[in-house]
Amino acid sequence: MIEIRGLGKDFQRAGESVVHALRTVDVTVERGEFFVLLGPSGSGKTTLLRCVAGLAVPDRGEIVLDGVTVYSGDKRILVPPERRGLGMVFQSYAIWPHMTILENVALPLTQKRPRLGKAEIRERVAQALALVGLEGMEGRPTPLLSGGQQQRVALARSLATEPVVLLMDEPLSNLDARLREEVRKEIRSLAARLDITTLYVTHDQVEAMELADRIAVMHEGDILQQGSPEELYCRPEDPRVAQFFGSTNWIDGRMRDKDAVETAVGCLAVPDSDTRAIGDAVVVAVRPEDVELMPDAPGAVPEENYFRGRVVSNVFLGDHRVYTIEVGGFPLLARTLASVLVGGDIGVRIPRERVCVFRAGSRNEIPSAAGS
Amino acid sequence: MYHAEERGGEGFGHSAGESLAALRSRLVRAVERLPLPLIAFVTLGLVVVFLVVIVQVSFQVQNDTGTVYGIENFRQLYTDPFTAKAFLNTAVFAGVALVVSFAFAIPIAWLAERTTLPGRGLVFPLLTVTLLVPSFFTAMGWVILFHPRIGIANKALVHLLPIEHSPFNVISLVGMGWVEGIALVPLAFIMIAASFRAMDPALEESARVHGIAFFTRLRRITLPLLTPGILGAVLYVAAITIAAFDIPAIIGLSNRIHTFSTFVYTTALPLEEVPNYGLIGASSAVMLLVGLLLTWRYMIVIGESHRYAVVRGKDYRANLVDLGSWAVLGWAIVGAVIVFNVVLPLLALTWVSLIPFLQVPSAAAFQTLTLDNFRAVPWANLTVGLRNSVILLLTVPTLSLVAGMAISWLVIRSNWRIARTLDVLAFLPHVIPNLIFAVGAFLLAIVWFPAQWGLFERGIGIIILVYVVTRISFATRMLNSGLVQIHEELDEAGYVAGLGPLGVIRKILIPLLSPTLLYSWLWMALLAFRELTMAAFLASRDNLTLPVIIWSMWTAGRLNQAAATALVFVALMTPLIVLYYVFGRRHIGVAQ
Repeated sequence: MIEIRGLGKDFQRAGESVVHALRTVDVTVERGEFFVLLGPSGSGKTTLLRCVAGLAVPDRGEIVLDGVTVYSGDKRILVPPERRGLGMVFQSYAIWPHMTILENVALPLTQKRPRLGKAEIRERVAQALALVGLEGMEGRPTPLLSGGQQQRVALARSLATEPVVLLMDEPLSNLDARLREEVRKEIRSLAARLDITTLYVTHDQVEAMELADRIAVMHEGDILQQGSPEELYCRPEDPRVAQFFGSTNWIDGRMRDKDAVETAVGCLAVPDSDTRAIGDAVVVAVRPEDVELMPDAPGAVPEENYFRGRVVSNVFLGDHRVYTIEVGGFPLLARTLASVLVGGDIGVRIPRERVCVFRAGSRNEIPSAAGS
Repeated sequence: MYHAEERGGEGFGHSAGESLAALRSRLVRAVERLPLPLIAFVTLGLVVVFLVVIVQVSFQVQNDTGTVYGIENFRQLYTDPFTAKAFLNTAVFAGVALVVSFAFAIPIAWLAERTTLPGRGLVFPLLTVTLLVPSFFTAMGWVILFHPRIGIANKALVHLLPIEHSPFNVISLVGMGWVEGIALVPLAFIMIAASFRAMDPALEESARVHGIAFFTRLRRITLPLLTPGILGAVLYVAAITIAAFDIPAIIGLSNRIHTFSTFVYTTALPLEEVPNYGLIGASSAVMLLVGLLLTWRYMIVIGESHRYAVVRGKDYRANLVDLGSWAVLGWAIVGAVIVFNVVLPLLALTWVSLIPFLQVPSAAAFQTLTLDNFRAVPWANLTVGLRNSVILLLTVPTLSLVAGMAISWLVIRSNWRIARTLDVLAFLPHVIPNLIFAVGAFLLAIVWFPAQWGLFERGIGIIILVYVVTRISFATRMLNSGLVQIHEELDEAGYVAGLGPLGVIRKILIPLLSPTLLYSWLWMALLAFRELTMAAFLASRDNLTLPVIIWSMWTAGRLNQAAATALVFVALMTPLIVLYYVFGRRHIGVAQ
């Protein structure tokens, strides 16, 4: 439905070097898919969305929407946004303040060719408003609407024309936390119900995971990895992707065997890999929730990846706790529901299949701004 | 934001096999995108052409073989004592005017922005409305009152006080400078008040907290912080005064006290000899240079003022100085400006319009009260003038806003590389005196299109053109700031909804800008209606405007009739001013 091939865009600011807003981006979004572009600010996700909308013009590559090439650098094709037949929800909602709700939602419909009759436009506005739960509010002036209502009007306006593709640019970032959660659910169910192809931009990984069929994690104009939320969370191909989803224990080490890494914590069994040679410097990522706490068993036969340590601190976060456990001098974070005694000795186990190994040094490329 | 050129798609030619329908839709798209750059280029092209023609003509010298190019005009300008005198006069006149206007404007700005002066909210609208009273009206009043020989106030004072001679002489450089200065107080005030408002009051408050006394605070903190703003205003007002025409034309012209503007006028339209266009070009070119130098300094000062800019919270309110009973003095200063600009001239002109000849009000004089002056007004002539003035009033603001919209849209909403250049060109008329553009248009018609001279002489078109060109800076400043305040996603939502650029402008931007548009329209309409300078330069038999008719009555010595007509004129303006006041109240203060 959306095919983006080799898309690139550079910004040249006066007196500064060229900034690669998009390097060489390839994305394919299937019909009916909810696709999220996730990344920190400045990662190029909004630029990519705006290129699809036609509001920004790429420098190279190709964009095909529903089989129609709307941009091609080689073939010199550029379809302006008003002829792409899209729906879009903006970060600020962009509700035209001089128009009523009816007029806002109707304006895209009046631009349809062949022209729609007055009655049909009214009918379709009513349908769109019903979709977002604003039945019968056609006549309301827009400036007095709450943020959540404006959000719904924006959604209704973008859906009224039944566009082939719906674009959303951080639509929830201006809502308060509770409302955000509520609208998130509504967007998800609406998208599923209408079977609409959606391209959604956000910097919030929780939002991305809840909404997306697939996610592309972007960083400095590149896509680091794309896949289902589960793939990205459990099998990150890049430490920056791991960094983006939740906190992580980063442990430096050296390959001792093709499935074992020598670290400060001890010798860690890791998934088999042929890409690294013995002796290579690596960095190992372990999620705090994957660190299993076990009773301290001084004499017992060690299980695989079983280590002994001491509980040094405890943070209570309501639905869970995060303990810092010193293992071989390394402060290992463990997330658990259980309650253990601070200062006591303890055993930890790290399941081999949950360990990710990356090339050493690659962690340094992680921007501090990225979520942790 | 997107590139206008890229949106235009000019660079994207299809390869072979493009269908006819696609070609047609591309054509439609191109046509849809054409008007904005076209309007912008035509308008700003005129700005450039008017200036180029001045420079060109300034180097044109007539000799036996025809026209050659040389610096003869500048040499003549430099050696001619009459010219030198005119330029010296201009310097004195402008100097006096600057001192007078800022001596009033700075205290008034402080009163309105930083004190508890009762009703201080009224100062701004009152002075803005004062600004709209034509300077020629004010100048006529001052001549009637303070002419050394016939001025009725002078005569009354000689009669009442134990003095031999008239105490005041407005027919002098200082007198003209005084009237000009008084007339420019509102403008200087508006600019300085803006600087006061832009200044963070916390800077003054911290001085106060640290125990620094009021006058020290004023001297060491407030005034230094305001210096860039004041200096900018001085440069701007200076550029206006050196080319001011109204007041020198009313007061000085018939008494042979020439400033630059009246010198150019008499050179352009001499009574006896053949006009020397080269000399007009050269003197205008010199003024243009002076104007650009002032602008350059102004830009530097304004640029530096950003260093002083301090971000402050939204709801921050300045700590106001309590005036106590000094408030009376405060209003006396504000009142003086209004009395000098409006009340005195109005009284003087009303009196003079009702008596057959100039005389001090007395029981005997009241016996002679008559409406004869109003009856003697050449109403047929006036009807033509009124028609022309109304045409200007309707067309100039409308066309200026259309052109301004095209330019501002390109400047603010497109990434077009030349947008910055467009903005600078659109800013030029703000700092280059209107007079220069009138001269440019005059020379353009005479030197470039001599064959179409008849058309020029009959038409009001060229006046409209020059007015629009000179108003383009105001229109674009207003629309630029209006557009910047409209979130760009509102446009983008329009594009995604299927509107083209013209559709977005029509359906989204114009409705949202409508308060700004209405306010700017009224302001420019009033200015077009009262404008004398440019209309006088481009006057011919059939395009006379009301101000030009009043002025020519005045110079012909028909003072009473001129006074009567001027009163009719101001009466015609009043409803518009009221309208402006009602609709523009929210915006008053942005105008400068």
